[in-house]
Amino acid sequence: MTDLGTAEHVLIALMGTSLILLSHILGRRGVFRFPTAVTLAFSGVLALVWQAPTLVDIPENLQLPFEVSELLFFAAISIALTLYALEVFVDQARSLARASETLARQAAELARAGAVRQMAAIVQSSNDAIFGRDVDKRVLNWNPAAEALFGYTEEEMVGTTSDMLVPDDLIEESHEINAAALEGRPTQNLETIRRKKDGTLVDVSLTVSAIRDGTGNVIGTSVIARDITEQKRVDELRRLALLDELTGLNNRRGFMLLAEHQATLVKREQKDMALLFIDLNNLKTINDSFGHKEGDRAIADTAAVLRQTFRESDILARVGGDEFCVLLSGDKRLDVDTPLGRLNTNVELHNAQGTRPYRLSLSVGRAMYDPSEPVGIEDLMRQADMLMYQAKHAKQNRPRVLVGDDDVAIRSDAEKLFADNYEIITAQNGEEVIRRATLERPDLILLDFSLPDLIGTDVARRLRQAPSTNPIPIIMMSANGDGSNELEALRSGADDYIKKPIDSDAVRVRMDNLMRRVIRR
Amino acid sequence: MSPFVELMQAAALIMLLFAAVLMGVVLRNAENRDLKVRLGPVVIGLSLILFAVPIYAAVLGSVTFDRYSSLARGAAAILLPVGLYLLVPLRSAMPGRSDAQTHEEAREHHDD
Repeated sequence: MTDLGTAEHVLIALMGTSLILLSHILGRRGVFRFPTAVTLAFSGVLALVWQAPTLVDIPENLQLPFEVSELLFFAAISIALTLYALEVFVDQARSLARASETLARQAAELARAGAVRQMAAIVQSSNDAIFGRDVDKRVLNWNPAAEALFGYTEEEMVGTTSDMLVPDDLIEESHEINAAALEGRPTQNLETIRRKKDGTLVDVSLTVSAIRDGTGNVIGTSVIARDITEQKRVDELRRLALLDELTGLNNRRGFMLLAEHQATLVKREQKDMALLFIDLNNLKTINDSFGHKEGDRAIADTAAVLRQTFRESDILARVGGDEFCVLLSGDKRLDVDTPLGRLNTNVELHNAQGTRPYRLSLSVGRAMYDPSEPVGIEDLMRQADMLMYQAKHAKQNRPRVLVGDDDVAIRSDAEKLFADNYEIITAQNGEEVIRRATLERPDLILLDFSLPDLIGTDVARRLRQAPSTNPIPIIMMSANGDGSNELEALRSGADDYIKKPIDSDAVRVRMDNLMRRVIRR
Repeated sequence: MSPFVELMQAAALIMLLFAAVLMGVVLRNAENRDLKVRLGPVVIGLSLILFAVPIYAAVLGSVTFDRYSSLARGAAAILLPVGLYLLVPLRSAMPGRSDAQTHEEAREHHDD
């Protein structure tokens, strides 16, 4: 080995000392810090051991061979530097990972900020009025569509309560909607009314839901208001296009639309369907006698009776002035008689109320739809219409008998006994008898001798005095059997007299005879 | 000199060079702009070369470097700790290390 000078020995010894000191400074942290520090310190010690024999007196037996201590120093310093390099490498890798994590976090934050900006842009450009409120309903933000809808600018609204948009009578509703939203129950598409800045009202569809902070606490509500004025106008137009204004039933167009759809369903499901063509009798007479307003009332009353009679699922329509259609559908062997019976009952109940100066009378034609041999709705309507006219004519060709009696039992007995051959009209007092006789011109009048308002003879006299009712034969009925009533009845203008209880066959013969005589005359 | 010592000598030199190269590569990638940090590996590498060259020469039997051997070792003995000391700022200036982490490290230093 090369002989070393004193300065060199001193310097290497100092280096050893420095390495021991540096081991404390360099090896502070990291995976390899401890091995690095130890190895570096050890290399320093070895450097001292290496140089010790040349600087101080050390007993021969304690000295390490020069080459060995030199080599150990180099080995130790090599290992120390390698470990240090590894530590730097690992630290660097970890820092890079941290940097990448930070970058990813920053990228996510940027993306989030971008998404928020994007959402803000969507809100700003939305056609719906959108605004946020705190829990006290003070407006926090206000988009341009809200400005356009309500007329208030963002500066005017932010910080003020949104109650100024609510009409006075809807304040309670508004509070309830807000309270529900704050409790986590959103309101979706509620059609209501709001007030603009100029005081005019606007139809809006409201969606109100809660706004929550990062921890899930409700901090306010968001409101989306859509102007539905135009939509309402279109709906109204559509409604008017398909509904009859007077009755609220479908009009012919609406009926055809629904009926065609129903026919498709019935055909597919092989169910039964029936179409009833219903005509309001004597509408012309009602119009002529009481005016068109009363005629309209009769039509509306008929619609009400039909609504009362048929099911929600049946399709009701007014297809002409006094013509109505009902489409019934159901399972196989559809029962039409029951609803028709109910219709008769409801018409009678309506008439019994006596609220109108005339009685409702309906003629009905029915046509059954056979899904195995389907026909169009128009054909079905034609068929039912034809049957209705047949029924109407049959009814019109039957002699009409007006039964005037205050006893409901007599009236209903007469209807039961004579309904097969006669069309029975009833009246429960004298005035009604006169009115109905004038209006409906029956072929014969069965008149009770004692009525609650007028006695039968007075009624008979008044009927005889009026030219329109003068030719109508009158049969007076009385429970009094002493004959005095009979004479009085005949004197008052009655053509015949019968005693109660009536014998239906005898009455039938008397009525037929009388009517024949009148016709001959 | 025994064959074992010669073998050890060769191994030590290889390790020395390996350590020098490794330091160089790792620190080069550190991309630290601090001049001191960039100089650190150079100084350490230089010191290791100064240590290694006379030994290699001796191993190879050359006497050419004998005259400069002491000077080279003395210089290496100075440069090695200086080089290591120059690397000290590297620890607090790694990329991606935030101020908080530096503070955390400072606290760790303090605790130590």
